[in-house]
Amino acid sequence: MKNIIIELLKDKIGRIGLIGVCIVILIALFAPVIAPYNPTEMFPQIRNEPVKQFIMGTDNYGRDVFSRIVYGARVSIIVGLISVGIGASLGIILGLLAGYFEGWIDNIIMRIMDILFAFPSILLALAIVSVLGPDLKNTIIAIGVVRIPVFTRTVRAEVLSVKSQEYVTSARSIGVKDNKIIVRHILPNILSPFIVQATLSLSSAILVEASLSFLGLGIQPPDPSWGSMLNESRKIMELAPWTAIYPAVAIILTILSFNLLGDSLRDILDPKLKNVE
Amino acid sequence: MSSALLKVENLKKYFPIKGGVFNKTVGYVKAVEQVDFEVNKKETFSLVGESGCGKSTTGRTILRLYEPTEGSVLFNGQNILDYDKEQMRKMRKNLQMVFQNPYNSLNPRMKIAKLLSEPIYTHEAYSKKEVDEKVNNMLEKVGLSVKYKERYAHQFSGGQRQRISIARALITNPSLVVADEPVSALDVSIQSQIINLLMKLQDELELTYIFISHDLNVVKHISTNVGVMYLGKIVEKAETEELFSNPCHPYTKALLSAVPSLKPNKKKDRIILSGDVPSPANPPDGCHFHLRCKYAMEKCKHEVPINKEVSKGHTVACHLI
Amino acid sequence: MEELLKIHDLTIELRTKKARYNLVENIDFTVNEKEAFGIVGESGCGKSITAYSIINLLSTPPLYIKKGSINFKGKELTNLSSKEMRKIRGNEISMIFQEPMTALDPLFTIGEQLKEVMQIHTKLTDKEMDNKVIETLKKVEIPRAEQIVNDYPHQLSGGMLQRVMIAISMINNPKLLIADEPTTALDVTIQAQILDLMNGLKEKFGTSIIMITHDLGVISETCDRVAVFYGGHVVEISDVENIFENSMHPYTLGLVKSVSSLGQKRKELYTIPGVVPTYDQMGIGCRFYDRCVKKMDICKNKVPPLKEYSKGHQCRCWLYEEVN
Repeated sequence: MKNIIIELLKDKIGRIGLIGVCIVILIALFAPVIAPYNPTEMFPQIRNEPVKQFIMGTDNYGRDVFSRIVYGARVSIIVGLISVGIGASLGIILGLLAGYFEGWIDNIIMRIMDILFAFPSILLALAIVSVLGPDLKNTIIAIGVVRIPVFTRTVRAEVLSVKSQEYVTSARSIGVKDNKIIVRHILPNILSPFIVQATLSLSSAILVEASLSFLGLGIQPPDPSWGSMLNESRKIMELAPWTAIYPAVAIILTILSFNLLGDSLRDILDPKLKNVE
Repeated sequence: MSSALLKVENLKKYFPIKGGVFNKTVGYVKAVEQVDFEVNKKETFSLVGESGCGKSTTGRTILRLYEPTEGSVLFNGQNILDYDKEQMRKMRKNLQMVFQNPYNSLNPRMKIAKLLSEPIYTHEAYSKKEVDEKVNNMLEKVGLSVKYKERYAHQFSGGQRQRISIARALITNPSLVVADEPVSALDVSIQSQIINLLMKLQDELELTYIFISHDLNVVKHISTNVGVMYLGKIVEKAETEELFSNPCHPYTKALLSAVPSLKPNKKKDRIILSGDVPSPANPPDGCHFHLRCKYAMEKCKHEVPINKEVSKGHTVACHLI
Repeated sequence: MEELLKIHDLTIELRTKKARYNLVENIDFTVNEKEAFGIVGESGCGKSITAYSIINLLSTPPLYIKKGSINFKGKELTNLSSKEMRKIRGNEISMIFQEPMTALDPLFTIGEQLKEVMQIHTKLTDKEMDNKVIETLKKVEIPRAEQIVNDYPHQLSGGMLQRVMIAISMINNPKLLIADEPTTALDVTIQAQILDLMNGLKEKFGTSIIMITHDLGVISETCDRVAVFYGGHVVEISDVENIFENSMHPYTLGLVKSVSSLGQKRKELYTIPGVVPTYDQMGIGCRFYDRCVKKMDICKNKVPPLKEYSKGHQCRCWLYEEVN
């Protein structure tokens, strides 16, 4: 672990990604300290230009854009981490089962994953949210479910390749039980690509959250989310461009940081994965 | 009552070839087709042959790392092919394997101490201290320093890794060890170290080996009995000295003469076989060897030769005999 | 006998971020015309990179020729531009590799691959090339040559592919053929076929061969003279009989002893103790010092010179310096 961070810091791209991700996480953690105002507090100055009092201006309802962006980071990180957590943990279980036992278990799991995969992820998330109803919890569930097939596939493919290594056959020849072979011999050897996948997934999860909120099906107003901020700014873009620019920049920089971190991790942990989606 | 520790009878292993839209079985690769042999306690039976002849598959099928298609494997008189999964798992304590490639037969994320203690914990409940002692003993037996225990496999050279593999296989006190090309991935000067080690351990621990190799010199050195395999069948089987001094099957003769000699300028009359080994998915009819055999007769094309005994314990499957 | 290739004082360096290592050092040997010259040694002894450096196939970076000369028919190869080298490679000097499967392009037929080599180096018409292709395939004893020209590499067996590789390397009648472990990936009966073929080609066409291998048996079957490599040094050069019967260097001696004691039933084999060192573990003295049974004080800190002790028999060992 320590080595990975040292390697990351040596790599220019990795360094930028890691610093970016750390900044976003710190902002999310210390939002109440950093934000000058309550994100839902409405000031009489609506659509105020960026000035000293409101460094990123105010929106159509007179709320401080900077404070909303800071609290929006919180939403993004929470949605990202929890949904990827859900997707990854279910994905790793399903992938291990499918890859290790093969046969009918594999067939059933992978056909379900194929069906899930057949929908564009944003459509699938939309469908789930519209059934469950739009709120933070359901957004997280929807994004998590959408991530499951990605993880299942990655894990399964890795399990299949690790399983063909002689040390797994060797463990079988010694009489090690299946569950121990999975935990001791397979899991540790598929961890690297799994971590890479998780990092890259964080960025797409954050992006899907922003999209859902933009469409009005994610985080509901007045709670701040970068996606819903963009949506609200649509009608006043010409009058108050700052209400669109700052949340957009926040989304771009966050996604970029996670992607750079993911790419660099991929190079460090698993060079052979370089050209895989 | 025979004194054989292991008796393999009529062993077959067919791998299905899947094809078509519905993944139907469209044919079989007959990797092992009727293999019979027995090994006595403390002896070494070698399976020798070229790539694709089914020698490794035979080794793995005996240990049920592949489920056999047919046949029986009697270990101490008991057919282990009848065992259920859990019985077989427990049985593995007595039947161990050493693999060819020391570079991927050891889990790269486990330290040596853990690699060696895993087999013990899998089969028996010992205290940590006892296990530690066993591990230290075993390391010493295979000629490795105890101070290496906290290292990972990739920190060792090929020969040292093979020593670790051997230690891992022997730590549960097995009576039978299947060694699948244990020295062929190693440097020449290291090969002899490992061969010596295997022979020393056999004497010390009263081991029985099934030794799988393509290297006739190594086989000649280490075995009591040898079976020559060609396309899934044992074509000739005899005591080592008998086989090397009096080879009867044309394939055995060609194989023996193909070994490069270490005496330059003493070029012997080499039998150069024409053609390649046919695919086991589509073996020729009759004697599998007839396409490459210069003595092939009409009979060989249609009729499968049966095993005939030419002298005690020396059997050959050839119409010439 | 005329000298065809003369390598003198060749040192190849590996440059990493942390340090520089000499992978091979002060390599000296000569290959004569119409001669099969063997290079034998274990993994990491530098035998392959020495061969690669002859036709400038070193992967640079990280490998660089630090000093020394490679003289082929009076021409200094280390100074050639890559364009001039391309004219020699595949034409006057050609090479075959251990894995024929990966050395051929899976997307082209055997015939197309053979023609490609001719297109680079000759100005024959298409028809003439077609004829030459079949003629060359027959030369390497490929049955059904007319059909095989239209096959793709995956349709052929390993032994067949190695024949095709030899055909490709022989098609322009090279003066020198470098064979890097050409039979290691093949079965014994197929190995016997290929070695037999190579011996025949040498005799028929007068091509010199450099045979790189770890297998002393292959050396004894095919070579006239041998260089033994250990840890990046040439430790002994001699004709093939003397390597086996009058080995001088303790490493050669041990190797021959351990290999030839094989096959005597269950006798303990003679072994060279220790492990093969890697390039970053080399001392400053004789590279064999740690494993040598006859080591002396001088061996630890000083590399012995490669000297001729009897006609055609060179050795790099302090044992013999004392006597003289």
